[in-house]
Amino acid sequence: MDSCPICFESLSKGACRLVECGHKYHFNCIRRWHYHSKNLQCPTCRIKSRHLEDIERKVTINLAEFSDANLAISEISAQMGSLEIRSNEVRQEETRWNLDSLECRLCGESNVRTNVFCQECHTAYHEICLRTLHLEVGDFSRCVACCNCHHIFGSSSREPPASREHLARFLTERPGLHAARTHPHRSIRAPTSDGFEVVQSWRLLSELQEKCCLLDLSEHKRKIQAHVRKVLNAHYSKGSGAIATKDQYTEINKAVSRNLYRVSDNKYQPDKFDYDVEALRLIAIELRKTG
Amino acid sequence: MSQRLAKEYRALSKTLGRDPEYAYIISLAPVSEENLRKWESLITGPPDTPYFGHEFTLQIEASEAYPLEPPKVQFQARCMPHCNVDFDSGRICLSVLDAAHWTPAWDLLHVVHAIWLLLASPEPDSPLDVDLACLVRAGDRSAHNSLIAYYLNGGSRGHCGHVSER
Repeated sequence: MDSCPICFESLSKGACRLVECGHKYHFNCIRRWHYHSKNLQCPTCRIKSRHLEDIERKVTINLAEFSDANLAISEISAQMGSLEIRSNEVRQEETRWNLDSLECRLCGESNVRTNVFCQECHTAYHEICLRTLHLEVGDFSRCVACCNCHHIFGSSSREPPASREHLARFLTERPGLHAARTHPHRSIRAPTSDGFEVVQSWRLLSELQEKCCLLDLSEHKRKIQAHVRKVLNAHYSKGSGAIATKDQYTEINKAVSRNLYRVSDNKYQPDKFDYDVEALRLIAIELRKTG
Repeated sequence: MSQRLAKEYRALSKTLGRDPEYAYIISLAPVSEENLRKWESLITGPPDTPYFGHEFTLQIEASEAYPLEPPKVQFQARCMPHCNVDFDSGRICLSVLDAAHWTPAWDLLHVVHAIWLLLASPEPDSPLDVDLACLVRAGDRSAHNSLIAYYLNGGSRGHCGHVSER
């Protein structure tokens, strides 16, 4: 059995293959190296790889896309601040955990605090890594599942909340979890019925993305409309009599602007369109229509 | 990942002393078995060089991030006259020890071997010892070799500038 050139352990489990050069590594090891080196070179032959084939799952990942997605998500979550795991605890009390000694199962990094933890199989993840993996394999659903036991975080088919004794027991049974000391907190908000708020935070992420898009959109529209107003104002002040009332002005403005949004695909593209000329042309058409 | 240093240690105890390619390595092992991050190696100089017949100590330190980051390797201070080694500190200029050129597929044995090969082929384009680099660049092999032999056999060497003042 081959061994992984990075950790020297057997490749019998969790192996993947760089498609371009065929060298095999543990999925976690090579991704950790990619994160660390910030390039996609093969550690053995230095050939730059664009695709990684997960041999077990039979999925090929486009590494170029993965890094883009990863970057985008880390930027968004940096804006949002870090998310904390709240264990499902006795009413009116929340227990916060420090999971900083746990390695993320996906990237292997333990320096950055892992913030998702599967209660079913006791596996820790970075929220970003888990989310990125879902994107990589083309799963755009908002439900996030544990890669190890496929338990869906935040699903209703969960076991009843773990009691404090149970938590304490498994913490002492697992030596890797030494930092998971529990600090009781007065409740900030009522605990949810689920142990983790991952699903909730995904929703926040996508809401934030949507909001960004909307902001963008209105910005584009505002710029286009500025041109239309400029041309219209010129008409209006000339007193040519073509535009008689304020209502007419508003109507024409609306119609022309809408037309312009449509032809320029809702994006302000001053290099592609001369908005002043286009506006003038469309205003003339509108004026002819209204007679 | 500290498992990996343990693996290397285990593999080395099988390789060393058996593989004639690495016969020049007298020892390559952790300083103490309690801390696998600090290693030391004793090597003999390559044949057909002024280093032949002499023994050199390499100090190796692997960071937490090893093997994602290269180990820190240096000769014992003021023991290695070589155009790519800073004589006073023992620091080595070698591309594979640089984070930009390091790959995690390398291990400590590779590193020691690369340094051993460096002893036989000095690189005057990235010198840490200007005097020796000048001699290499000038193509004066015999002066280069005899100067090294002089230092290795106990010839005194001051700090920078000593040789060029003569």
